[in-house]
Amino acid sequence: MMSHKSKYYKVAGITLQLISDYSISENTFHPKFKLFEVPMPGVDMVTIRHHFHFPEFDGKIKKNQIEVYKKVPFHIFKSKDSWTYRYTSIFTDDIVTSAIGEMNDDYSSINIYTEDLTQKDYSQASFNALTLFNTDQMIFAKFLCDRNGLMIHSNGFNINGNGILLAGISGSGKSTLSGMLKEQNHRILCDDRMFIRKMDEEFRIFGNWCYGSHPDFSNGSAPLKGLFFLEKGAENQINEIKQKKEIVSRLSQVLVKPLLDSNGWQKYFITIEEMIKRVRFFRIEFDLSGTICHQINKLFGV
Amino acid sequence: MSFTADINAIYQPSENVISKDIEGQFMIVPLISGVGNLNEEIFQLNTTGSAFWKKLDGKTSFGDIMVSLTLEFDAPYETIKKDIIHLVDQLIKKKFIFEVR
Repeated sequence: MMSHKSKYYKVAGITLQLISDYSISENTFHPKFKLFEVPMPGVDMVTIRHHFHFPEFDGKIKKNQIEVYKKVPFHIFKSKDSWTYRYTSIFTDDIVTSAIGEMNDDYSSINIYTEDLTQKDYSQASFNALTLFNTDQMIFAKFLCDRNGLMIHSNGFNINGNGILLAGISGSGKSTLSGMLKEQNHRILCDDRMFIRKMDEEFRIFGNWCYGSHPDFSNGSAPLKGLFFLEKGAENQINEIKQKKEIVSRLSQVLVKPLLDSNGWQKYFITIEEMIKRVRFFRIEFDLSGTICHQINKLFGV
Repeated sequence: MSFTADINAIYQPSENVISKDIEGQFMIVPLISGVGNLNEEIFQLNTTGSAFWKKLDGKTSFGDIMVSLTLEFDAPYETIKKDIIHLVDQLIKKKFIFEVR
């Protein structure tokens, strides 16, 4: 069986180089990563290194670091030029019970340290995240912010070359409407977590591996042409929102909030302002008949 | 016990939050653990609330800000005070603001 100590994965235009002290087997990572594997380095690249011992500093709080986040499974500290993630698993089936992540300021260099993991364990682990945490969402939130992007609690679709987002909190009907669109053979890009980036003067949405409860994902992308805020209702109707204040208010409720310092948030706010200028936003209400799909299709020339 | 604000109190925004007005919608985001709740949605203020926030300069008293808002919104003092006291209670609990005097 072929084994490697380095692999490349690409998502949203960012290449992640994974370098490990152990050999990486076909089963080290969940099969979902196959879709994102690329053969060579990219222009915009970050590096994640896996080590199988704890670092000398042992994840303790360093001089000049402040605690920025504390909620299981994460305890996160930041200094001017580095971040430390202490991860303690609460998941019974998690092969990594604790890990320490050491990131430089822009996360372009990430070192993950864990103990009590043999080469054999690592080869068969089927990890759900390249960071060895329970999700890679937190590093992507930072990557996207630094690249005119953000993450939205939404399902993404490619409809006839048009990227659309169905946004709403849990229970808002994203899965129901997604099911209807899938029946119409529209391609889902990702369930529950969508990556958005402004590239070449347009906003694009990207499939990724950080999906929610449904393992619906792809490595595709599409220009973002419409964001739909889901509303409870008995009618089938789509209304474009023209009031920018309403858009900001609704958007702020579905953003996946990244961990950023004040400079990071300034960049994030600029991205939101740009997005509001360039993307169309809608309220959508639907029943279970599926007729709302015809209205969506019509909107995008299907 | 309900919160009562001293009209002589002076409040100031925490340095551990960032605020932003985008297209007339005012938002406050906590930057570190222990200030607000990093897992919650972005905290939004209504028009009166954002006008109040913008007057928190660490120098002007709560009472003077109330008078100023009453004039700005052409609304009864007691109505403004009732709204803002509820907001101040929330902002203090979230550690978005603190009393400097």
